Amino acid sequence: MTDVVVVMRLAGDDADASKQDILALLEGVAGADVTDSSVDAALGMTAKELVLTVTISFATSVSANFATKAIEDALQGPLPDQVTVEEIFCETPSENDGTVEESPE
Amino acid sequence: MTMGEQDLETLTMIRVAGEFVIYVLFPGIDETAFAERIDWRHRDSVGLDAIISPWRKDRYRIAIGTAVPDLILSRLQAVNVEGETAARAERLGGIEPAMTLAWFAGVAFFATHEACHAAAGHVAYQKALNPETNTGDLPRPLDLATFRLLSELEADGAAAASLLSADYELMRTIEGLSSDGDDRADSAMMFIVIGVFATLELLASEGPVEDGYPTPETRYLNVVAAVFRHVAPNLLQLKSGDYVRREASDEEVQNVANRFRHSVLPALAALNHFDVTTPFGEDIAALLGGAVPNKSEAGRDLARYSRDRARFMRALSRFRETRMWDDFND
Repeated sequence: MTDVVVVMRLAGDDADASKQDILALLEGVAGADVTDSSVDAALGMTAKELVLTVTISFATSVSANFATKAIEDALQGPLPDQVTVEEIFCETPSENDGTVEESPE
Repeated sequence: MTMGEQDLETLTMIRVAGEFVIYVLFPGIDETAFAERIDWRHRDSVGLDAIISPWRKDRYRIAIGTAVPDLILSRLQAVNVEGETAARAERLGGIEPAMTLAWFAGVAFFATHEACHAAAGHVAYQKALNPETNTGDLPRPLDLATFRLLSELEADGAAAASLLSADYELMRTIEGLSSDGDDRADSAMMFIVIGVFATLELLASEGPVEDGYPTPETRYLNVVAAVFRHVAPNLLQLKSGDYVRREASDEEVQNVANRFRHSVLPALAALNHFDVTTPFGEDIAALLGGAVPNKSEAGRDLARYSRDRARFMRALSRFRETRMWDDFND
């Protein structure tokens, strides 16, 4: 299994609508399931911010590069206004303890 | 690192500041492995930008804006290094390494501020209030606007005090800076204070303050109070969730005054921020004497906010990640 985690900044007044639009985009990726998502308020030095973190799981065995590219391509589509993709990275669960290890993109 | 190196990259500065916080600063404060749960990132920015957010499981993610080091450096290049400031710089090996210490302290202050939001439980408390992620076991109620405001002030104060406590370790980070010998502590304090206050001063150039944030002037005074608590902890006592000045001997007062005279005061003067003829300057002087500021609007705001501090402390006590605030816990 391969997981891709996407971190986005949400601006604007309707974070929930933006989140739903993003999830719809990501759920359209072939072979992928959105397994976790949350909108969290980030504390900042000079400004508040909302951060959307989505985990997308590929059930079949695909390479980290393939999974990441598939998500990047999906996010090339029409993103809701004021959504900025900040980070996309791949992680593979450890076989031993259930923790995840980051793999470089 | 040195201030003049052409190839010193912004990202390197951010990375080194993050490593300093994780591997040096917090392990020196607290025996828990809290700081290892922080993932550091940088992100493109043109202003003073840094955030902390919850991350996978019990981790935290801090992203520092790429413009931060250069903005701080630009402000420091305008600092007036003469008189006692120049003399103190020579004792640290020269103006170059001394101002590099100030620069690194400024960037580290930014990074530590964000890490303190996690250490202090601000992020966890806020996450507990998030209907998407809370477990139904809500913390004691605290007005969210008050929480935000006091969180910023607490993160500023804790970051400044932590860096001042790690003065020796900060000095050892800077190439060419002499970290041994007499008088180094006060000299280092001077340049750490210059870096921290130059950074705070930049906040004022960021434009209007967002709702729920203290003004830059209030933040400035709050950090002055933190500097006093660092230098003169014995002149304060904890009462009703906050510090109040206690009666002190003339000798104690004189010793503290001497330290300020040769460290903090010249630093503030170098930044052109210590004009005691203004209400703001009077409040700085009041705070450096352990008194309550009441001359400027920012000073009165700070005094007013401190009245909510005990309630804030109680609400956060179960979310604290380190033992830095043990004295205040129930």
